[in-house]
Amino acid sequence: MNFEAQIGDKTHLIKVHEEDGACVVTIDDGKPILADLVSTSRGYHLILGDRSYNLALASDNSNYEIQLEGKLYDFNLISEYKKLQKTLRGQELSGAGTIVAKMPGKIIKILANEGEEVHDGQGVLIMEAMKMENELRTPSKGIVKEIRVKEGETVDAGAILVVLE
Amino acid sequence: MFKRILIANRGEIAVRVIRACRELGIKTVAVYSEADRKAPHIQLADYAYFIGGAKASESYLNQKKILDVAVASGAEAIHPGYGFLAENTSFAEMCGKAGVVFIGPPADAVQKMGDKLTARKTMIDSGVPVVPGTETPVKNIDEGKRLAKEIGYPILVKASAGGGGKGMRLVNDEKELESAIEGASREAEKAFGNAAVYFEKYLEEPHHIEFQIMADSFGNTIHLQERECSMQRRHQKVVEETPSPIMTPELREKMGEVAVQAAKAVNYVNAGTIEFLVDKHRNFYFLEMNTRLQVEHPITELITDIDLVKLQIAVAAGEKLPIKQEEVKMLGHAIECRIYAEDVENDFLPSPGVIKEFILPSGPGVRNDEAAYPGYEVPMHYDPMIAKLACWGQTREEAIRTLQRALDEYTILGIKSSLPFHRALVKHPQFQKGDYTTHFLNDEMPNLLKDIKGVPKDSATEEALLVAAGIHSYRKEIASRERPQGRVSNRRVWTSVGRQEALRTL
Repeated sequence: MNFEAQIGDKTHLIKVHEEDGACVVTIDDGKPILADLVSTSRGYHLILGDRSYNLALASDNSNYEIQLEGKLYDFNLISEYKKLQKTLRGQELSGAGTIVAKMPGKIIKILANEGEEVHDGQGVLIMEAMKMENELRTPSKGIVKEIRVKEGETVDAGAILVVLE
Repeated sequence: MFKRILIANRGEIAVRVIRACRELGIKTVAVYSEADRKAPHIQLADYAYFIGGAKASESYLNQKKILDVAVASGAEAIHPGYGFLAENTSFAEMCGKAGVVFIGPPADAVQKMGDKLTARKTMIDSGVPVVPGTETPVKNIDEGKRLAKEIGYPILVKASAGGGGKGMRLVNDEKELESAIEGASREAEKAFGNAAVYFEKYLEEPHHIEFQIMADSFGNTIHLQERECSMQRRHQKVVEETPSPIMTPELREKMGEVAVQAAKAVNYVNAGTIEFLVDKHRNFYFLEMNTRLQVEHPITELITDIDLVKLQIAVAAGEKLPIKQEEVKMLGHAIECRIYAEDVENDFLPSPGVIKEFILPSGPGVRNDEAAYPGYEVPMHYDPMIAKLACWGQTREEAIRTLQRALDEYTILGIKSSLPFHRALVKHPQFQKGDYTTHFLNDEMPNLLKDIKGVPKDSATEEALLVAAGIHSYRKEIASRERPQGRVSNRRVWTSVGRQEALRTL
């Protein structure tokens, strides 16, 4: 099975197949690695070749949050099959292509325009919530496809504010 | 001793009090709002009463409802925790009238120390050194100029009904004074409904050092040493430690005596904390008194081996202090990190939501005070602090090493937490040397947040991340294909196979 991962600003192709109960993983042009992932009561245990890692993992569709050796990482990994499905359905290609309001609040200022190219972590709008002003930033680089709110508008928790592609 | 206690609070402090009660054989009554039906504190209590809407004013601040529950549940005493009604004079009085013991100081001690100017005056009258400043609110700009010159610039203009850094302005010279007074008054009027301001000298390289005191109702008052609380972000503590890196035995004895003196000046009973500001010359000044148990009490418990919550309950039940000042121990070093549901990369914006993974560190020297679990939804209506991590070591260096290990083990996924911030902070050279004042986080925050973004720095780490996610996704994909469209579950497959077999035997 093939997957595409976006970590930082790099994209990787990951191939995974099973052989005699263990997984064989190939990253880009690298050598195939024998690996195994086991779920434990304190997260997961990964054996990668001869290395051993204890990690914690949570995923939300193709968004991965992993804590490894005391550091927190987040990135995208999606199967080529799912990626194709999304393209055919006209959805955003990268998993986290939206800015969502986490709490009810009011849109104070919009900082970007539809069609504008934005880099990872660029501030797109300012929202007032819980008595503070907060700049909401893009989760990845891309193009602002749709800004669904206006300055001065109040929004509910969970409202999609900006769609990126 | 009480047989039943109501905890008028939520979150980790409610859990803390319930645990102490359980060890004392006391039944516990918890109260919860609409947002807290799945909260850890009611899961641990013996009785749980619903008290209203998620908004604090409808539930945890609703004095009448809480007292009604106390009476209905047969609770003989109420522990108010910290925040909410803990320093509310009228609530303390109402408890007395309802025949329920308020586990804390007498109502008039709460009142005397509640208003800052009154507290300052009480302290000055008792010979306790206070931060040089004005005794009464500043009436006009001319008086202001004269007073400011007397005190000596730089000065702080502060709201007398205030707190939390609101209604405060730093003034470096007379030119800035008029607009500072106007600005502070305006902010104070809006935030507290009282525009009165006073002046305080602004100290150089200040340390915020507080002393824990404990008094019984027989006049015995002791102090349990200091806590260094200068690690603050926007005037809110994030890391506390004891002993203070700048403390000396002589200074501790002097400050301890003054702390006890301050408590005695208001006939204090039960647990309290005297906050001081200490300048770079080790001159110390009374700042304010907190008439309740503090968030950071665990570090005092770790070095003195005294359970402060149990002691609070004992004192409220009329018992004498079991220990004299000279018997108070000071063993090793303890450091606490406050774990918040906050997005550190986004200006520490609160991050409510469902926790997907929650793994606590353990092992020697690790203490957890938590109010969360995997699957718990952190509500947005309350303070976002979900846990505290305190570590003990024989030396400060050992405590830091244990803290680093524990922070690396600590796992919170699904919501943003302040763990990455704490991990960066304990590695900072100034923190490691114990060389920081209340200015530190303000100055160093950009440096601390520099490397916080979760991007792997070496290929081995990147490989591990990609392989783990790859295998995880692969297995998820296989599992979802074996269950066509998720509509026919395994159970249904077996049911249909069973039916086929049954029909075949007929």
